[in-house]
Amino acid sequence: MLKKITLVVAFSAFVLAIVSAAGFDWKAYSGTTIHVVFDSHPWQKFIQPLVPQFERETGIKVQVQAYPEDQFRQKLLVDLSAGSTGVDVFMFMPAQDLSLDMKNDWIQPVDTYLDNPSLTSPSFDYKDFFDGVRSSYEMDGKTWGVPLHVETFFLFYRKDLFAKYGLKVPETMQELQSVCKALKDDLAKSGQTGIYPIVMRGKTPDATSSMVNFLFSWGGTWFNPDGSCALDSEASQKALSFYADLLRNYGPPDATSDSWQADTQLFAQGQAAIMYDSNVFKAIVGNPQSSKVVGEVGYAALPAGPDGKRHPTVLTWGLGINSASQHKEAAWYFVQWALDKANQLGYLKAGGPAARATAWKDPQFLKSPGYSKTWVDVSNLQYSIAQGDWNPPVVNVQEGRNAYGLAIVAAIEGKDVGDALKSASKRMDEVVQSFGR
Amino acid sequence: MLQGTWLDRNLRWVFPLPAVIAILVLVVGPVLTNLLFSLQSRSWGIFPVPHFIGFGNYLSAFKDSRFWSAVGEMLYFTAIAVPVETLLGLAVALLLNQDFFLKGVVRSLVLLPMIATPVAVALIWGLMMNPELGVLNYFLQLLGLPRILWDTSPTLVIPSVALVDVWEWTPFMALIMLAALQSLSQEQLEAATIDGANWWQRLVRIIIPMIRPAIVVAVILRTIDALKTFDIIYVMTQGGPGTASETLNIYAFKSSFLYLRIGYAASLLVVLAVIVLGIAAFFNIWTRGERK
Amino acid sequence: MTAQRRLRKSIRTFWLYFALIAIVAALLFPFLWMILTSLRNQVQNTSAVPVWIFSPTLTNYRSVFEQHHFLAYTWHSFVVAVLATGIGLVIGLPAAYTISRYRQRGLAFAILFARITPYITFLVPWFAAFRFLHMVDTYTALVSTFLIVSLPLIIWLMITFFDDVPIDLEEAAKVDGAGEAEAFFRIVIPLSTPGIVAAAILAFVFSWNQFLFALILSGSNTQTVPVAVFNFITYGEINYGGLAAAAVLITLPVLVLALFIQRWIVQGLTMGAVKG
Repeated sequence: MLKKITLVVAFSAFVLAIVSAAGFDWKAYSGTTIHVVFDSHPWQKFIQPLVPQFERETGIKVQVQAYPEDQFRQKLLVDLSAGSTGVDVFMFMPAQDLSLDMKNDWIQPVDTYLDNPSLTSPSFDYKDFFDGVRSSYEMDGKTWGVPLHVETFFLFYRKDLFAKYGLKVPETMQELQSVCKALKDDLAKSGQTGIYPIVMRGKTPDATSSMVNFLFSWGGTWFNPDGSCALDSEASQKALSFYADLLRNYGPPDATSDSWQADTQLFAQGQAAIMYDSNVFKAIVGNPQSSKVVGEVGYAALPAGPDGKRHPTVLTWGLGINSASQHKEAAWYFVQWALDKANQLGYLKAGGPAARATAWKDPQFLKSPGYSKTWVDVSNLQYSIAQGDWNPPVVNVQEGRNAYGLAIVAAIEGKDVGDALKSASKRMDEVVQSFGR
Repeated sequence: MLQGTWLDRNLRWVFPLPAVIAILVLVVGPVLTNLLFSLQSRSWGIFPVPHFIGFGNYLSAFKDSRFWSAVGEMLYFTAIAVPVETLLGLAVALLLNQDFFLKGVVRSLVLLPMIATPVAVALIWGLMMNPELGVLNYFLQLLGLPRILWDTSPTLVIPSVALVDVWEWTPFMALIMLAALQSLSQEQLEAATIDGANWWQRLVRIIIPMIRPAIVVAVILRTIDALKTFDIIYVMTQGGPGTASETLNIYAFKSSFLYLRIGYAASLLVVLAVIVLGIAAFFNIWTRGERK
Repeated sequence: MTAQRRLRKSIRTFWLYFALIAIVAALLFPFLWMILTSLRNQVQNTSAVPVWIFSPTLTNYRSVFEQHHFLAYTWHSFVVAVLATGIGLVIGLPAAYTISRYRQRGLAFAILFARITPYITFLVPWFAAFRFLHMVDTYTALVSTFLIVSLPLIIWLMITFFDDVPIDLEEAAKVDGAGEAEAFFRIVIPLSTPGIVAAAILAFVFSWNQFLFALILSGSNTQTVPVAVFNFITYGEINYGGLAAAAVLITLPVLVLALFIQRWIVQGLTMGAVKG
């Protein structure tokens, strides 16, 4: 019996050796069709036009579906939970999706592909992705996807307006508020009523991702040491009051309906003096094709909190493979190609914060027309000090995020912050109770 | 006379059989399943493992402020849409009952809003209501009125989506009442005129009481559908801003397909179904009493 | 006296037409705006003052077809709506006939129940079942659920039509030796053709318009037009022209179809409670 097993093992090893010897072949899955599902997002805007190139190189046909973020999350959740074979590759964020996807067996570990030289191109160089980012995709001893970028929230501001009104780039939260106030007065005085001092997310659940930096800046946390939700703490109330007042007093009137889509639009059209959002949106507001203010965009780090320190978070998007996919190898080929060195470099040049270390050092990037040293420096500064828990560390992130998001909306609408956070906290405890952490 | 074939003898139950099976499978089965789910803690995936929790979901719902807010938004929406549709519908029906040029064409045009695909309707109204660039704010400005935030304002969002519902369904109300108006006898109307009753008295004392059954039917049908409105609200606002336009239907949808809380969503749906069926039954009993 | 009366009459006529024009304008404006928007370019569409006069462009329509597999979605919608209508007729016509002839109230009530109960109540268990059977994103899943839309419309509309077919004609056929089933197929069905056409169109239109079921049960292989269109809207990054073009394309076919059956629309939607 034992002998038999040994034989089988030996035989498999032999077969494997032959296959490996055959080496990696981009054409190996020619004729397959795969479906990929993307968020409508700067990375998708960058990669989608290049997909025909992949189809030519591999003979694999790719059906791309891109949805706006709300629909994207909804659709993907339904598709994955249906065990749909109509999705092979999808975009995901580990801190948002991984825990639930993994527990439900909706996502395929990629270690076996990474370790198999006949399936992974020798030039892929997985270790090139930043260490800290790669580790976000590891859980329970397995690797669940490959990062496509690493982002962090900071300030975008209009250099021309700041110069015109003699304003200093805010270094602290208090300064941010006084700058907004000054902008409001100055803009009103010079009759510029079409420009809002600041735009930032006010819509649930998206505002959670931007609010969290304020939460941490005031010393707030998601949970208490005893495991109960800490969103009703005093620090959390102060942070939310600050954020909500800022947006209510100096932001657009329909802020609670706006997320990054509308905010980047406003900023790019010259209708906002400051935008607080992810550094990835340089790809929109710093892109001459979508922005009227390209030359005037300045970048500044997240202002320091009352403790004098900056508390940014770092987020990452990546590509994963559906465990119900019937074309996992072809799907893996797509992932490798989409995140290879050339495409990561191209994405960085287009303004997206790519996840590969070599891209950031590449002379082609350093000399590219859209290159901004400030953007690179501020991003790097934040990466070096950032926390990773930009989402509530619960399994059912979607509902946990929304619980907090609703409190943010209520606060912006001018309702009682304490009450709003108390009910968010209560809901978060229920989320933990039913799905765990 | 002897009816020949087996089919002829058994036609009474053979003919409706496929429909009965379809209803058992598509309607009765799901309703019972839903009741079962409502007693469980369950998600879509294999995690967390489904288990019975008795009436736990219902108890959480009654303690959930978002549930009560959803019930409130649902009733608020219905309470705006249905009365406005009824009054406007009556006015339109009275107008269409007059003689005028191109009557047939106008009657056809009136049908279009309720036939148009709701997603397209919501989409186009969403564009028209855009606070910055929408044409509705442009019209307000022309009239010397201030611009408003329409469906992006927490206080105006329900009236805004109700406005779309009014646009879509007033013609339906009007056509039901028009059908009733056209079946009125001319003698009675004329008799009323001779008595010296003016236009308003005639309307209130004679016409409305006479078409009352049609009005009641129209109100019942619209109330039931307004409580369940999904497409327009979901496409325009997805329940937002915050939960300002989140009706019970939308909240149940989100609970099941976004938050993956199937058991909880099922309990919300049972409550919704009870409300809707209860209102239908109430109207039914009420009108039956009146008919006697 | 007569002059005064004539004056009063013309004032009345003026207000009648004024009100009619106002109503028609209010009902048609969104359609007009949709069409105008679809024919303007992005600059014209995002102008602060609406642009009324412009040289129309078809770019928006072209981009809808090129970027979004619009033809495939249209095909999915068409297949699902046709099948839901066809199967609805096959199941619904015989049922409507026996309900009409034998006053089968229980069945009639069950169908009414299906019409009244909120659709999501069915959707959650259906999704669970189709998930279990690995049938999400199949035509079978969509068509069988769309029956919940088409079947009640067909049955209730046809009951009223069958009620109007004189029973004498069937009796006469039976005297000639035809069985009841034969009488149904030979006499009742042909006599009700206009009703069947109306019911079919109505069922088709409302299947075409169905959003909720398709939102959850369709996927990349079966996505229907309303869902596809919903899936590419964001009011944030607005492509007004493209959205409007898509809206025109979804809704134009049903508007045209509806004009053929206007007499029966209200009757169908009121479950036969009102005859148009």
